[in-house]
Amino acid sequence: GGSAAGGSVSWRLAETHPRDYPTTQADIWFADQLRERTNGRIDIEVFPDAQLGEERDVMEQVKLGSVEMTRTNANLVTEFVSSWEAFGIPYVFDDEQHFWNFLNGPGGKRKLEELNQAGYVGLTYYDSGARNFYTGSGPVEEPSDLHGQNIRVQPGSLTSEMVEAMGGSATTMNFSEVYSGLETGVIDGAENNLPSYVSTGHYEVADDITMDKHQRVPEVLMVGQQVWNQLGQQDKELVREVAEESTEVQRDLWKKEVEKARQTLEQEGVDIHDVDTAKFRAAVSGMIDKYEGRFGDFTSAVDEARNTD
Amino acid sequence: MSQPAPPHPVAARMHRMTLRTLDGITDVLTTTALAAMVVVISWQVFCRFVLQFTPGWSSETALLLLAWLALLGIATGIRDHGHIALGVLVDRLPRPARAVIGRLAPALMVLFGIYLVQQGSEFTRLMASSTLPATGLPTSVRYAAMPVAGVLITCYSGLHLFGLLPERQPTRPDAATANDPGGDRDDEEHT
Amino acid sequence: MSIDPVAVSILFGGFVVLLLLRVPIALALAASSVSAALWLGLPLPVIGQKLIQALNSFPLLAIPFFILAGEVMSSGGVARRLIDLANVIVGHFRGGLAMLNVVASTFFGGISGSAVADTSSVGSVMLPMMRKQGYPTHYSVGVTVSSAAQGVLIPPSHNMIIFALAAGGGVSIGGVFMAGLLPGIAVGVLLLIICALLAQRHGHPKGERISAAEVPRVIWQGSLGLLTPIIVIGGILSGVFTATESAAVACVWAIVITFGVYREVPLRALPGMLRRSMSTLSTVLFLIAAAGAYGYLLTVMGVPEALTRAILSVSDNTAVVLLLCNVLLLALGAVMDMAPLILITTPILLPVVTSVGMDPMQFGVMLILNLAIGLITPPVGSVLFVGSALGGIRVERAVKGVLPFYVPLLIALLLITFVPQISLFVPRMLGF
Ligand code: NA
Ligand code: NA
Repeated sequence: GGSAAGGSVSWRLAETHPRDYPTTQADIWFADQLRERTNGRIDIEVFPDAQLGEERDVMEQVKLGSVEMTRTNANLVTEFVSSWEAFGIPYVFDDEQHFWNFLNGPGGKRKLEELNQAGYVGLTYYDSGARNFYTGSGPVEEPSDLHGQNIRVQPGSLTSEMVEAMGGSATTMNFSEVYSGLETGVIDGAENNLPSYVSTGHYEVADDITMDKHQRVPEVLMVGQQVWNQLGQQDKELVREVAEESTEVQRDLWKKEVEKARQTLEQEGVDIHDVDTAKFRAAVSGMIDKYEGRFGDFTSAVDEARNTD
Repeated sequence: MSQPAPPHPVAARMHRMTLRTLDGITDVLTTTALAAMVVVISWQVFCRFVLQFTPGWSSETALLLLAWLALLGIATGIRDHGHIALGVLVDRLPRPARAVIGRLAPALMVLFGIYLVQQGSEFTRLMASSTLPATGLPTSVRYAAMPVAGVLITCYSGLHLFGLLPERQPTRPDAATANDPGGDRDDEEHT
Repeated sequence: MSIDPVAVSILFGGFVVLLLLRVPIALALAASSVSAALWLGLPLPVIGQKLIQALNSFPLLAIPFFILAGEVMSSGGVARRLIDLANVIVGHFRGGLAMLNVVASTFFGGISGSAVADTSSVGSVMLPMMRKQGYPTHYSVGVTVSSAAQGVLIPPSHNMIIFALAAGGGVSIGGVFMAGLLPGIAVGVLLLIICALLAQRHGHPKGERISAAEVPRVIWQGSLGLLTPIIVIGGILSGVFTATESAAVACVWAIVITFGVYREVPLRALPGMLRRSMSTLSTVLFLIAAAGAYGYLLTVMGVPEALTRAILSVSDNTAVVLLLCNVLLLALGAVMDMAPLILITTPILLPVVTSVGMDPMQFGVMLILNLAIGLITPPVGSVLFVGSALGGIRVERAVKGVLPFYVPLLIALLLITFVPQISLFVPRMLGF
């Protein structure tokens, strides 16, 4: 339940990743810090491993108020706030620096505010790195290698259009079935960030990964608007502040996780292809133009962020 | 449960006709949904093998049908006395006590139906602005199964509560037991 | 996290009280969940959302498909052809019809995955045959129902899917299927041995040999039916299909051979088959939905962790913990049906057994065999009831017929509990 100003707060934070994942660790750090700084008055309990449901399910619950907080991927947010689809435009960010310049700048703040119209309050972003293709039926060195490959994508994301534009064919499949799908060849490949590629074990059955870095889709930490409004002004500020600090913690942990993932992959003999991303970008230039036109505000904010370092 | 006929013959005919219409609608809806699910997923397999692509909408549509089929199925289950219950204790009580306790389940089911109508509509409204990823339909389309089935559930269990729901003849000798294992019947009935 | 004692009493106590007052199990789950949510101050629509979310799972779609395939095959004449096929294999031994019954159930269990469907379709053909040859009816019923319970272990069984779903996605459906294969066959062999022993002792008649001219047709037609589970298992293992797709294909296959090859029933029988599948499905799906809401509240309240801690504080000896689980399940299985118990007990007991090192796939096999024994155990056993109804005898008489078969079933249960390799050998070999 919520609280009046200064009253005690007891919230649930839903997380789908396992306890030792960087994102979950950051959630826990955030909860611990708040508990410490308020002498236990603000008590947030983290539920890892999708105990309270998968991301979309939990988004609905946050809107309803039966779960107070969640960490979710921007791709999922699209189903509730359609303008968030913009994060899925391939190669919209040049690199990690550009990506974080945007998120930490006015453009990122505006995106968080867009969540309000759907009944959420966005607190801060977490990193989920760049997404890459991995395949089990031959390496992908350039877009033409995707031809005739069945690539699993998240349903409803721009990724499917992107895969088609590069010449592959996009397939949607339940995430839990991807491993066996790769193993048995129902699908030829999938796409995700490095740590997920390792933690899901997909590298065991698809041992070529192409570092084409086609998307950078942030994670977002959010609260239901109704519960948020029950917080006092000071608490709101404190929660935001600690959330923003937790982003730094998460980014550090994430960097380490990516390095660790890369090491694991090298040890396991996975072929990591550090390709020229320009070719991949060129293959989807038409699509980029189309969506940059549709999400004009977003694109101009992204352009501004390019010039601010 | 005893089945007192409604007093007036016209009322009785109305009652029978309404019931028959209601039964027909739910049966057609649920069996069509079941058949459609088979067709949709088979189509998905066919597309992947023969046409070399996977339709994005197929699994989401099949799941949408499943949600509707399951919720409407709760109503047909009440109608056919199909939901599994435990008779061990109640069957050993004297008849009058059994009759009183027998009303508890339908009464609770009426409440559950009202819950689905009321809270289900609220949730359906809340989900009107979000969309399902593959078909782009509003999420409400899935949750609307709650209030719709809720109405049917309230009707059927209301009739059950007042003894106006006819006993079903099982469709085959073992069907009643098969659908109702250990449920609305006692061991002695089999002797 | 501390546990709210009132909420726990509402959730558990409310459920048990409603159950004893003959409220349908699924409704009791939903009602106690709504009450607990009220007490915890959760927004009420959450229970409705969880009901629907529990159904929003692609692997779950396989269950309606398997149930429909089983229904089509049992009312379309496949059961009789499987019996003919089994007759070619074991019919000529002493006690041949009893053995036939076991082998037919092993075949049929692989198709329907439902002990009730198995009992009614195999039993309705076998019981009159056995009576004609002079077997005592209670013995015939005993063979029929205990082999039907064994058939649930043979993949693809929809109860295995219910288990994989209840286990929360971490368990592969293909893996659980394969884990059941060896134990299922082993229990079948144990049942055959008992049949052979009893046949010698009581002088059961020999079966009639099928005429040589008939054999090719019998094998051909029986094999078509047997292909159904082979399509499913082969499809999943080779990666041609996902579990759900294979179930849909199995349905189409069942419809094709029933109406295209066997042609024992006309196509206009199909709507009736759909309706009968719906009546089984509606109870199963309501249970799955309600168990989803119930399980959510268990998680929110931290019950599984607390129970794991409590049990491990009594003993962390693997053998003791596993025996406790089995005793608890046998007791529950005596009064409740399989699907609801899988749904209710899995989220609670799985963390307990994995904490003492048991593999979830092995737990699935143990759980399902245990609950299958419950199906043929009084006071409440759906398979026992159907069997005695078909045999036209009192349940008490039927129990007398089942008694000798408890021995191999319980031995098998102990072996499966304490020898992980029996369950895990095949799935491990196949890389699950
Ligand atoms: Na049998
Ligand atoms: Na029982």
